[in-house]
Amino acid sequence: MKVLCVDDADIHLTSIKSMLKLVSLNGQTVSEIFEAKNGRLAVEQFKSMLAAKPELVTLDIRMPELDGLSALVILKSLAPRLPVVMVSSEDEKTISRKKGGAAQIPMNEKFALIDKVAARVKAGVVEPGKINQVLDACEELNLDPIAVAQHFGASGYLKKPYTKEQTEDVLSKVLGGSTSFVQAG
Amino acid sequence: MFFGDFLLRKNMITEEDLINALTEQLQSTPPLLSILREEKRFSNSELIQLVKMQVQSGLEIKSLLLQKSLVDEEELGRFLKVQNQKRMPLGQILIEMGKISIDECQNALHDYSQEKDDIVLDDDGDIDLSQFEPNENMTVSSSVIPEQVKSISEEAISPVSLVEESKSLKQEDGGDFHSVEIPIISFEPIQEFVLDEYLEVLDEMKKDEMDQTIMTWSKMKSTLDLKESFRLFYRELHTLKGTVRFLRGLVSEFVIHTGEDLLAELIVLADQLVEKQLVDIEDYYLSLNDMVWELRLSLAESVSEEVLWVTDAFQSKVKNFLGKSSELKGIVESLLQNQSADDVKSQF
Repeated sequence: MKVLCVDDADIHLTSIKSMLKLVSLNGQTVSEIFEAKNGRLAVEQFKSMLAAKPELVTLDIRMPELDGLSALVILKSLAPRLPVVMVSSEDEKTISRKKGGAAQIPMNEKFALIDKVAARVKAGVVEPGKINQVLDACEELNLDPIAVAQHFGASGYLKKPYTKEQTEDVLSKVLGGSTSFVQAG
Repeated sequence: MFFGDFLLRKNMITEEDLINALTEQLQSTPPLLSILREEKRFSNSELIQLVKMQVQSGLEIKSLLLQKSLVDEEELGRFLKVQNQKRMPLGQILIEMGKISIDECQNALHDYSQEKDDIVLDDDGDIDLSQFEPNENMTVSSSVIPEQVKSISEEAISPVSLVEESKSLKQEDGGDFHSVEIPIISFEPIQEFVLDEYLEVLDEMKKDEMDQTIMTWSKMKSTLDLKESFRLFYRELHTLKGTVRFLRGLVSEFVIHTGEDLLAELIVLADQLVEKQLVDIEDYYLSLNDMVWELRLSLAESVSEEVLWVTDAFQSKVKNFLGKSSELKGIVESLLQNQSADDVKSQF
């Protein structure tokens, strides 16, 4: 099975690659691993793979040039059924944002705003002075990046640090066609 | 001839009085680094870098500044003048020591300035050292001061004393940090396999990484979009947090997460921050880095942070950090109050 791993930090890239070599996913083993160091390179890599597309993508969220959520939006527009698992160490924020401007915006409107950014990302449009990436939109709107990943079709979330068992569990379920969002870590 | 020599010659004080007074004066001289800091000539991170260079080279800060062409002689002269103005005048020290009276001092200063027209006195009636070559400004004192006192003078201007001083000042300025609760962390041994690569992160070669990041950020924030510079910094912290998690660096994770959380808010509020707040923020992240650095070294040595965590010295640093953290959170929350929904929406 072919897997594309995306992470900007070498150490985390090495970690997920090492883990993938150890796991058994519904009886299958990972035969080939491709890697990319940011969202933009991941999209380029995916496009260049022509017929031999990866069967699974692991995506870090916080990356330079193009963040993982923006890359997710593009990958899903290219291959809607591609299983994508977010691999990150996002935590809940502890500072109360009840006071900020974002707190006054209803949830459905927040998602409409984030969809607007996603449309821009898909079209490759950068508007100066505006928010042009999905993760930046999450920060401004105080939205949980994992919920947003789910909104844009990610299949699961593997939180760092993950164990072999957790990796096996999440990826097997995702590859087995689980309809619910799978998370561990 | 200097004022001290003059008093000695007039038999107004003894040699021992002069040595004691000069020792006192050297101890009251603020370190050059703190002058550079007050004058805002360098950022805090640049100053820390300067201290590191000093420790490595063994040179005095003033020599280092010139050697590395960080300032020219004229500018250094100006800083030395400020430093000189901030130390206690010799006359005042002798008065406080009860060796001469105020009247005696004033009369002596008058006679002295008349006798020595070529020596410029500063506003405090003290000798203006800035008129001398930077490396020679202590030569006259050195001729009088014995070895024991010389070593005190070096200590008084050493960067270590500045660091200690600034730490204690921070604690005083930051209010009552004793009320800050240190979280209870239950240490678990590493059960899962730890990748060799993760341990390499703690390699000696990499310990300057975050300092470099903060310095880069510090430089960028003045030239680049502030929001963008915060985002870059956030990514660095986030990666570090992920790494320490793999190592079960529970304290490191807690400390980094505290700083990361605040950074997420600072990205949103970047446009509203003023220079003073930026200086506080930089200070805060430098102290965060100090702690994370210690924790990383502790992890590298024993693969456990517990040993460091329970020490009083470290707990006091954590208290200080958490106190600063809650101050900054207060600023963040008050800034958020001024932000409207339209402010947010207008960016989309």
